[in-house]
Amino acid sequence: MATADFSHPEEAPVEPVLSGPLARRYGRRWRIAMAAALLGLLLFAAGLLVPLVFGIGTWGTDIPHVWGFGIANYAWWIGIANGASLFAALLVLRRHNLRTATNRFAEAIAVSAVFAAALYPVIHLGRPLSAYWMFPYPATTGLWPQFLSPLTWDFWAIISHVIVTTTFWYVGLIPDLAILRDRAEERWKQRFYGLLALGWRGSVRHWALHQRAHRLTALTVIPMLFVMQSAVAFMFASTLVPDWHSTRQPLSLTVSAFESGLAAILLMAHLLRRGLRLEKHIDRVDIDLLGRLLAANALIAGYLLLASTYLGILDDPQPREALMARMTGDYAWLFWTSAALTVLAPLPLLWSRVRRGFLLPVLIACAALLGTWFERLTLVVGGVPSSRIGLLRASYWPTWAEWLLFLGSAGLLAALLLGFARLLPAVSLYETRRDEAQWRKRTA
Amino acid sequence: MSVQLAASFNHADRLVDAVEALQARGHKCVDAYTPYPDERLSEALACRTGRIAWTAGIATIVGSLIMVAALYYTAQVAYPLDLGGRPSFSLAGAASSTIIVAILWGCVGALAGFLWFAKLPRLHHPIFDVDGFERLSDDRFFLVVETPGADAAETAANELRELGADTVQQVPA
Repeated sequence: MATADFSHPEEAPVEPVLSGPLARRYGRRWRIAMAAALLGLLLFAAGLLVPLVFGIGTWGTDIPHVWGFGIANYAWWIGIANGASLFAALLVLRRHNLRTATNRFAEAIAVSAVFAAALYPVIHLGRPLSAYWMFPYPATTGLWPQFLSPLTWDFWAIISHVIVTTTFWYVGLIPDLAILRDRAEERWKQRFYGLLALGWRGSVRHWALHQRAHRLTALTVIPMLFVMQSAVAFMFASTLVPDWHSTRQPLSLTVSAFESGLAAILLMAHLLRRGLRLEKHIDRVDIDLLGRLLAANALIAGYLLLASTYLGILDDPQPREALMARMTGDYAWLFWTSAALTVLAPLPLLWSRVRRGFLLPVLIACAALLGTWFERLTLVVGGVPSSRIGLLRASYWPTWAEWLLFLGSAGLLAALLLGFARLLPAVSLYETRRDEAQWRKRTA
Repeated sequence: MSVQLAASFNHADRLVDAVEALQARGHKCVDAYTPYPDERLSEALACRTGRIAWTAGIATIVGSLIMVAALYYTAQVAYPLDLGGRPSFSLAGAASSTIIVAILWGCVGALAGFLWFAKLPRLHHPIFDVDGFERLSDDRFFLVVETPGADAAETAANELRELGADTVQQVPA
């Protein structure tokens, strides 16, 4: 295995990681950030209430653009969640050293992003209060859900995704919760962590079972993500829009999901390093690897973009026209912005001097996130060719209600992440401890 | 009446060596407690984990069967829809929700198997009453040895001290 090459150069004690969750106060910056995130959460409540009270007529979606911001943002959040959990699951299965530093918060990003995405399909129903009709229960009306409808796939996909991502994250957390239980001084914290730790006592038999269970949950995460991204592509394909029928769609969606996940992890790694002073835990080897991965992903995204454009030009007239509409039509700027941001922007990370910096990688990660967001938008909005619109003009533009919901879901994500950073260790404690023991053994 | 002794060590390797030495002398090492997973130790104590994989695998199969049955029942029996003469139920149409739900069952099966075989949650355990056990999450490793009686416990305690244990005490019943 190649893991030996990426061993950590410095000893990283667990105390700085522990001090966060156990501290009585967490500093002014955290409180200000949390206040802003809670404000965002209020926006989310408002964004949910507007379509609930006034209906989705408040959104800009209309014929010919029946899908818009809601679907694009939903797919974007899901993409971030999938990319982050795929990354974490692969590292657990490969037992890669990088997992110590990055897995915990990568999984936290995944869990938060899934929650940010989870309410979109419900609100998009038009009649959100009847969302429970999608669950097969014996209703007095004798009606059952139609399982050939992508809407019910979405229902099962979201429920499974939330549970699988959360389980993967929680299983990895159990031993760390026990450490917090043992170290906590306040009574409520001892109870809080004690209950969550389920009475974990560090028995060797438990460890063996735990490691197996952790790898198994990681193993379920991986097909989950490919199915999720393909299911998103499948849902697009079940409509009449020719641009959405390409069999390359699942692959493009998976690659860009991975890119957005990696960008979110890189961004978070830099922020945690600075914010919580975890330079030794998320060290330069980790940062360097994350940068390399993002750059490599951008190259793959570039290859896919070229291949799908080339094959699209050779395709039947309708899909070709749709592709051309996407590249040269009213929404062409979305396409070209996304291409530039997802393919070109991360390329400077190929140079190690760029990877080692702070500002440039942060900006690049933001650019990649924005690029994948534009990619979802161009996919949802940009592929309707003018010949299919007829006399109508391409006219989609998100309304304030859609922006409200989007900003609100970002607020929800930020509030969850800040809450995790406050209550839970940002880096896996027991993996850190194991690395520490191995480091001592190596240097002794 | 059997007596359980808890010995604390300050190094994982010393603990593993002690386990191997004691087992060679015919002692019964019940369990060990460590702050992080140690493969050598779980091999020495013959920890079995394959059962979790079976639980997860069987849960995946059961889950997918239940899902297909539910889809078949709703689409073919309870509420068949004639959409342009297409069959009401088709495996291809059922595939995406079935695969997703099968994965869900596999994941929850792994968690349930872990909790079941580890007999967790169990918020209290006699080992927590051993003095200094809270240092487990800091810098200590514990080994629990079962002996048939008080005399045997005395000799085992001496052997444990010889093997490098810092403290040896009886686990409260």
